[in-house]
Amino acid sequence: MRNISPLLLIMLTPAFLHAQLSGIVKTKKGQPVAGASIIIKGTFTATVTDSNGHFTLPNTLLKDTLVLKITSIGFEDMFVTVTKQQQPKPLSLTLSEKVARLKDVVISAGSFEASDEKKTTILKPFDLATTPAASPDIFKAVGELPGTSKVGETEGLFVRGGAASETKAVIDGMIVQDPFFSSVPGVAQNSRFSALMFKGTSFSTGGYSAQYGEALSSVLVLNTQDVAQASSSSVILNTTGISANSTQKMNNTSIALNAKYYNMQPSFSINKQNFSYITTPQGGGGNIILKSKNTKGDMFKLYASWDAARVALQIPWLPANIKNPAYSLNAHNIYLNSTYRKNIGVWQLNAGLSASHNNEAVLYDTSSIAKTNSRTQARVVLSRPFAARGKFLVGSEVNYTCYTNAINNLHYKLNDLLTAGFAEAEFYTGNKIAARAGVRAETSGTLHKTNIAPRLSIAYLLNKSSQFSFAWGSFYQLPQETYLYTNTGLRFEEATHFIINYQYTKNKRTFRIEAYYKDYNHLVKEPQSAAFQAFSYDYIPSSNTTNAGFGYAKGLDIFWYDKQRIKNLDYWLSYSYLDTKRLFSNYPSEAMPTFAAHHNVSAVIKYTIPKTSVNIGFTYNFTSGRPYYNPVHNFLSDKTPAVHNLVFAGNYSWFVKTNLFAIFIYADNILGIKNIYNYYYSADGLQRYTLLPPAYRSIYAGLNVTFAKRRTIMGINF
Amino acid sequence: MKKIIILAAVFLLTNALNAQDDYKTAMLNNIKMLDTAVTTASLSQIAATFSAIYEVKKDWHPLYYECYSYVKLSEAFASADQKKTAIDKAAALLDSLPKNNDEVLVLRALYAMDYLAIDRSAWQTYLPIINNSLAGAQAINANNPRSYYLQGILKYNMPASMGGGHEAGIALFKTALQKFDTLAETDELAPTWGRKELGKYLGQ
Repeated sequence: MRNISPLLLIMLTPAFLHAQLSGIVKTKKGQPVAGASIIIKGTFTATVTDSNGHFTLPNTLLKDTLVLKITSIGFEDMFVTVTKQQQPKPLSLTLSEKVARLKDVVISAGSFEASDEKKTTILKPFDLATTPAASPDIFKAVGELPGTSKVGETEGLFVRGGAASETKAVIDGMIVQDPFFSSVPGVAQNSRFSALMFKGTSFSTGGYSAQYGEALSSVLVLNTQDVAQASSSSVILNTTGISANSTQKMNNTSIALNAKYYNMQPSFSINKQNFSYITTPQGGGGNIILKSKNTKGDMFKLYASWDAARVALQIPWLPANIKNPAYSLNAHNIYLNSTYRKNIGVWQLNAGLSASHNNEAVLYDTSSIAKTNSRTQARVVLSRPFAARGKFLVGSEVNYTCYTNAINNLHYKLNDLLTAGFAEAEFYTGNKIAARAGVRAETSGTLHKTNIAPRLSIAYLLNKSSQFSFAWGSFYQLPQETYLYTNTGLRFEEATHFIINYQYTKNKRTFRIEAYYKDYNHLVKEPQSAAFQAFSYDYIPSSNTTNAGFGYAKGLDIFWYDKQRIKNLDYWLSYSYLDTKRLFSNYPSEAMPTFAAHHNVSAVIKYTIPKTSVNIGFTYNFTSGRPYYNPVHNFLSDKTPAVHNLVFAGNYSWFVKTNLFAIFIYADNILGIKNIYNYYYSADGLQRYTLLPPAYRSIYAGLNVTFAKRRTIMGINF
Repeated sequence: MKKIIILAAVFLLTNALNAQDDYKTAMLNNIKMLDTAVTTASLSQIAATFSAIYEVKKDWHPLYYECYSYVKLSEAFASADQKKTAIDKAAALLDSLPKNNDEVLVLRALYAMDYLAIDRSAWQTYLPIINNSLAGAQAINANNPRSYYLQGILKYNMPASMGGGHEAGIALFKTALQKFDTLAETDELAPTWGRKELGKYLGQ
């Protein structure tokens, strides 16, 4: 009995005395932690700290030893063993802050990303798609981000002192040869791609990944939507035309067919044009989008499109001795992009094959010009996870491009085979540093030259809401085809980027500031004897070109995005300062290029009227004057007036049974400001032609009807 | 000696039964507190207690209620920052809950609705979560009243032009009420929320 009694004592006596356990929870810096939860392991007893970090665990069952588990969001879980002796005294517990998770560090220098899949991105694809504009054109939306300059009369993304040709658009890894509809002089065109096509957009204003090349300034990396979530058919009727869509979803496959016809005639009769048209812009096209995936995550995507366009108008400002200033354009474009993704063990294979062909026939005065360009691209990338949460990829691509230009009886032709290989690793060291290092090598069959471009980006996390990033890299591009027609002895043009970036993100507010320096080298330069051409439609430079051109661009980009201050309201403000000069092309001396502006401002505001399905939005743009050429003044020493534009867009949508109706209205330059885009001078400087916007003010409206068996908005069941 | 062993065995058995009782009692007490809790302090306390219970008994019920407490806590907080922190905590817990359970699916839908209330622009991601979760819940249990209740809220707050509106919402609330009334629940720890909130809408 004597040796059993202790056992009995434990089993049968209610030996647990009730008492209180109390204490305080603090951070390492001594600040109280409110809302931390404290549980006694093995019991149902728990409590939470008050706003002063204090806690009490009433009616604590005092045991010889207690184990407390303390948890609080943003702190490491803490386990404390409290002995019987310690229990009557208040406890002082110190939590260590959780080092921000590695995935919170994002390589942000030079890059703006919109993605649904990554939580860390500032923008969502929907934010870009709803930027107030006539159509959800992805390039228009991206053009409201810092780092871009507006050039009213020309389409394209002018990034940080770069020409539009220095930006490449990439869809699912494949370069898009002709992202914009063929243009006529003085009138900017839309892109062929709607923002609604993409689930992820990454706009790089510099320092981009070694996966991409052939762009001195910038890449716009677009990832298309996966398999559609629902079947539907839709018809869009507006003041410029009609389009129809049919999407069928079958298990893991979806097929979409789109067709469109447009004619600007009705729109031009409402909105007075500053140009005089002989044939109003008109055209049509169609595309097929196929997406198929299997349960293993393998994915096949196909995009095939065809379109045709024609227009004829008076272009009165070209060389003085023109007899007939009628300019007509007939254009055709086909584009095919197919990609395949497959998971093989730890590796992921991304393969793609794309082909495009663009054909333009121009008649002007007594000249007839036929231009074609085509690109065929094959690409393979293998990627795998690497070290802790890092990634490694290696890949190769082949681009076959072909350009032809026939001006009356003068024929020019260029074929180039560009082969590239690249490898890149993304890795994390410590808890605060993320880095991406890569290298890309390219060989051009035309130039018989190879370039090797190293790239490096580093992000350093300061605390949970802010980080510094840095990027550096070399970027190469083939000289423009007009130079290569007459001289294949040139070398790659080159740019080196240096970028530092600070980003602060808290809740749904973001502040970003980025400074950059871009050094241009080996730009193609024409001989001094070549006259400067402010504008040309058929100019092919002579063969005496060299790579003696150079230049720089430096500046500051500021971005503020707030989705929080007012319910239902989002807005962003973007400001870009640019200082750039170049000696290139047919410039007689170093000067700020005609496509650059010192100051660019964008303000985008979007509001949903509560309890309704009415959305309204405004975009304001300001671009300071750009240099223009006056032959009797110092070279490019004059500047055009600044351009202001305030745009309004609104839409209202409603369901009739399961069919969605939406009306939308868009008004450009609602203040009716008499903007001037550019001046062109006659060679003697005596005559001046003022290039105006296509219209001072324009209004555009439409109706969109989506027929579906279930209520669907943008492919998502409602 | 034999007696003592029997005594000990009986004691251990009752102790085990007591533990079972204790678990149920603690759960029921805490669920009762959750029913009436409105302040962030009490909701945090309740969430902590469910987490303590889960540490002892790895059953889906305490985890479910801890998650639900964080969803309610997110609703109770005023600042977007705090709302987000609480809803993220709920999201983490949801991932540990069984997938093929109608109540868990309904909770996932509720979580997604609250997430959308914080960040509207994420609707392309979260609206399908709400719709798929509620449809999934009804496929498992067509009589789950909370699934109709949440569908009702979704409709109730949607503009009439989008097929929503008060009438459409109330029709679903009536279905939910009828499902609540005919519900024959055998699980004492099963969720009961929604019944009381329904009255608020139907009383209007």
